[in-house]
Amino acid sequence: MWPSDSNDHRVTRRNVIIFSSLLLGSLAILLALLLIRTKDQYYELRDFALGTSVRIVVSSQKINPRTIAEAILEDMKRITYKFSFTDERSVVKKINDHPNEWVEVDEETYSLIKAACAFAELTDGAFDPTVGRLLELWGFTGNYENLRVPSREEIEEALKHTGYKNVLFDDKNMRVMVKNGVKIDLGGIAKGYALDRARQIALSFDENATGFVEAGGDVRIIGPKFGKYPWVIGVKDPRGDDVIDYIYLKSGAVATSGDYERYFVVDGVRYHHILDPSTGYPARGVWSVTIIAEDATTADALSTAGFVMAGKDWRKVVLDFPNMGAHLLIVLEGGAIERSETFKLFERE
Amino acid sequence: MRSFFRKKDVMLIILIFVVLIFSILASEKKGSKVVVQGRDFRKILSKPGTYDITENGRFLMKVEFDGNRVRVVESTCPLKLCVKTGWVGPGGTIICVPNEVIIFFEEKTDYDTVTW
Repeated sequence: MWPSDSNDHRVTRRNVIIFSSLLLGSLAILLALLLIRTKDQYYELRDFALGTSVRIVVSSQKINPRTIAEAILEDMKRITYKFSFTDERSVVKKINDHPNEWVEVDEETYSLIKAACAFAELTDGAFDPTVGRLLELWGFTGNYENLRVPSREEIEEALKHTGYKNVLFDDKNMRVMVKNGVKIDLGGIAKGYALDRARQIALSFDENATGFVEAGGDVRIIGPKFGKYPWVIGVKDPRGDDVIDYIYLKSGAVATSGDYERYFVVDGVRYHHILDPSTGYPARGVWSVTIIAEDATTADALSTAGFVMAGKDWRKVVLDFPNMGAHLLIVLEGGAIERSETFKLFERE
Repeated sequence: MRSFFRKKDVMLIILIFVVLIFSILASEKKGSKVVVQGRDFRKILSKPGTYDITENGRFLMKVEFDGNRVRVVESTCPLKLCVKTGWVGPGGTIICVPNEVIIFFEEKTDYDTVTW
């Protein structure tokens, strides 16, 4: 190859160059591998809770992250049955089974139901925690084994027993009452609450813990990646298996409501689980709504409300929601994407 | 006075580095692996094919893996949402709630998670 330096046994300049470049290269590679290795310090746990899949990604310098992840999972399972619509141990079921009676509840339950009603107030009932009867009618409760399209009469009847104003609160004694036959369903907010709790649990173990918790496509950030970088979150294409956008979050939460999560098809019509509390039918005109907010409870509740409202007037939603601390991206029926100006801030690293 | 580096030397160093980088990339790039995680089992699919997923001898679902993507062909659950999800590539997840089965890729993607 290089006849002038054919003797490889002498310390020639060329051999020095080859040797040193190999040495430096190898060192660089070793260093890179070590860096990659230390970046893999996140403990990851996947399991089932809240009626969906849960993923916990957490890191701590102080204690074993596995301890944190397992504590979070346990708490999520607790929340699942405590606020379930059907579980025998559920407080929600207890309230629903005792209509027109004051039911004494613990602080956690009281706050969450009150928060749900506050979001209903805030969104003029687009998010409503009292659609329990309607969901039962459609079959979107329990194991979804009785899915059907109800008759108009049935829906009219169920609508008469829907409305968050039928939930009464007694602050002094922490009691809740449902009247007029309404049934509370916290499906649109419990997931968000559980994610906020998850972060609190992580930080109670180690205030400097980082990572994120995900439940059924809603994400709550515990802390930035490796303590300084944003987490990269793809936004799912509502009609495909790819992502349509990327957002970068160092804190806060993101939640998405879509018509592809729980649905059934009859005569070519898709009936999904996000019911419009004013009509009793699945909300139309939108494929998905993604909300970024400071906390997951807000993101969860407002993604449901946004989904119901955006089909009627997406411009109003895009203008109003940022004032409630909700930055949103809407995929309208047909695939057109609309977003609030404030959402764009999260699309950059 | 000759310059320390000749053109040939520079070429040689570049060549060595290119070979090194390629060898690293080659070692890093592993084939796709799919994880099928259930209540009390965890199955890794590394070869393309169709697999029956069972739990304590009870048939849950049939999963097809083509090397790049995965899908649920049939399932015992009522809504069949896992089947309707269709083909999913790295980064995608298939969830069957009634059977409590999660299907995902071990492969790294350019994002950390997905909101859906």
